[in-house]
Amino acid sequence: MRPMPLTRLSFGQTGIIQWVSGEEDKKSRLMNLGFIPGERISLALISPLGNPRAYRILESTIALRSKDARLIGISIKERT
Amino acid sequence: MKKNSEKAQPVITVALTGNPNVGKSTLFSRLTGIKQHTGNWAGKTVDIMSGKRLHNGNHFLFVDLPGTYSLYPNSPEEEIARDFLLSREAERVCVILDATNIRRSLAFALSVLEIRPDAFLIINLADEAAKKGVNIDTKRMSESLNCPVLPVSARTGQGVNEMLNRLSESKPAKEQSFHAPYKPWLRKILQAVSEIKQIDYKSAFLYALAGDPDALNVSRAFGRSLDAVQSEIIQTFSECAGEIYGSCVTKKKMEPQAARADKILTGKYTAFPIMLLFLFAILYFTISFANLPSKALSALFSSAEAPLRRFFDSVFFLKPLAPVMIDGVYGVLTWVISVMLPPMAIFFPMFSLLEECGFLPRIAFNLDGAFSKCRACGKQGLTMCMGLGCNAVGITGCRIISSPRERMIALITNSLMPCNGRFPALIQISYAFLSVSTVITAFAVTGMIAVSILMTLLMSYLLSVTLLRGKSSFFAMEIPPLRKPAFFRVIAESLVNRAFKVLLRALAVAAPAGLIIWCLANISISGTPIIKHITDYLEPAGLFLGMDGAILTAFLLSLPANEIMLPLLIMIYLSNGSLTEIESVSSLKSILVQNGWTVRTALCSLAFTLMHFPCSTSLITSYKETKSLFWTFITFIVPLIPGVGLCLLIRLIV
Repeated sequence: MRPMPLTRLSFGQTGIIQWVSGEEDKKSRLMNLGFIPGERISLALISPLGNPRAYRILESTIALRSKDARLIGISIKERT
Repeated sequence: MKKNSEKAQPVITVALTGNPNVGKSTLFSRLTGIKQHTGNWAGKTVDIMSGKRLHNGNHFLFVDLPGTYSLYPNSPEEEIARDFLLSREAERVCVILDATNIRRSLAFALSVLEIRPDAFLIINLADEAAKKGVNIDTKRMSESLNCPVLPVSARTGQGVNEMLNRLSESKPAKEQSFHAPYKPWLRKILQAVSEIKQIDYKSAFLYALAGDPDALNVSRAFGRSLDAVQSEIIQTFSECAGEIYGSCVTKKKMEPQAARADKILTGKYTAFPIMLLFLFAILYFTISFANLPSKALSALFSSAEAPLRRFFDSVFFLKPLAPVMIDGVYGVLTWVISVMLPPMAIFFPMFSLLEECGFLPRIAFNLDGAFSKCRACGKQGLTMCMGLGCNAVGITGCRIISSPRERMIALITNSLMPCNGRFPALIQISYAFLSVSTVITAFAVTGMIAVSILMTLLMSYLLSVTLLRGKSSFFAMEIPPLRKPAFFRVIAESLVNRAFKVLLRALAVAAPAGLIIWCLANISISGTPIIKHITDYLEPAGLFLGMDGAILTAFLLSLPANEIMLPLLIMIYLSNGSLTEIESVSSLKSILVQNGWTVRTALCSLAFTLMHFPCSTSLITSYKETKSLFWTFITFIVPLIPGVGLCLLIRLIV
């Protein structure tokens, strides 16, 4: 399956992170938070205004704005 | 940091480091007995705290480093943590890991082990993790990492003695060594960096992560981008952590994705009503339960006044001081205590409970959408909540916001949130004029705080397009799991650390304020007390804002402590030279009405109470935080603008 931005992940799906982009600073920040290629990720919460969203990664829940979540590319694992 | 005791007993300095939210601060309190507040949101510990502990004749100095996700510094606090670890000032390093979230903690622990192979891994919350079906084989982990791995429970104190015993051992039992399993190409690059920089090979990766120019050049020379090098380093630690996790951690069942409570707390239609409901409930309880103890306290203080006066009168050199000390200083001090202590003793513990169960990060999560539209940071929602308790606390709390621009916005707008000291005036004026029931008053005050929130958003936006121009930056926030707070401990800590501290600070400024106010009210120039001159002078400005000169004078003179505004005003109205107690709400209303108050005056006074210049403590704090007179001035002026605007609007409409 073709990689797609993290923002397209919906509830109940599990994604595998394919790439992380963004200028140096942002990329390493994201990676330090656990958004690392190969990791499994799922959608945990959507805030009432739709943005930010919180993702389940490395056993914790991290909120990201869609602007930053777009820097992360994922592929969808089969539905769980 | 290091100090030798009289017996020249060496002090062993131990640094505590770890990801945010791993219970590091709780462990620190457990180790040192220093009562330090531990909150439940990422990056709360912003100052470096240290504390001593004597164990079996060994003197320990524990240093609680700011929580950090990586050794790649994204903020000044993280830089402090990294530099302290590198400096070798600490003889022992303890990396605290959260057993319930060990996968993430491990990657950070490995990067610390790389620069400090002598580090101890302390696994906190092992008991809680076991309950959740997560079992950690610490022996195996210790063998594969070649370092001590010790389970503790910071909450119950389990394992802490063993940890201290191991820290007491002069030398680690065996040579510790951990080597990050870099790919060969990366190893060559790091080797070259260490040669150019003339540093240890093992710490070269830090220079690459920090984007050092030499690291950039070396990477290029090897045909790699710095970006690729950095990613590879992070990935190496993460993969290595994954392997160790795989071999040492067994998990019975999968964790639920997100609790149902979370879906409701952050739900599209439920989030905002619930937040308002919590706010309403806190205000309602504060209003309805604070009244009685307030009355009891003031009765107690006034009954102590007569003996105190007799004592002053009996000592000849104190006699002339009696009026200023008793009517001035004693009057103001006891007023502040009896008006301020009961609501704070109710408000702060309730607030701390919400904080401990993890509700506050969800507030920030819910509000971030609105803040991002105003080009500010959602974490500002947290500092606003803190501001409801005390603006000075909120202003210091702005350090949790990593972008300097957004931090400044949060700091400047903090005083738009009414603090505890302003609640009494808000409550009493609205109780007297707008309603006679506690429920309706709580509603009214909730509404006023909603106005404050909207104004904060508006002013944040305006600052973002003028003085602090810029777009909203990166926002990433960990949302810790909801947890049941340790009820009594939280309440006790909150009373001691928050309510009491804020009270002490208020008293420290209220005492001299009482002295000055007494002098202004009792020293006359050409037959009229100075305070009358001031109110007359301010009368036109007061009328312009829909109030009067006396109200404006009361606001100005309550600069040191907002809670004395209303009593001060009544003192001016009754012109009796000392702070006056009002027996009932109806007598408050009749005094105000006799002095020309209408509904309009009440509304304008409420608006101005809600939004005017910050108190002197907040101003001093913002100077300390910004180190700039200019920004302190902006902090002074920004809440004043919407306050004046709202007063003028009310004057137009009502």
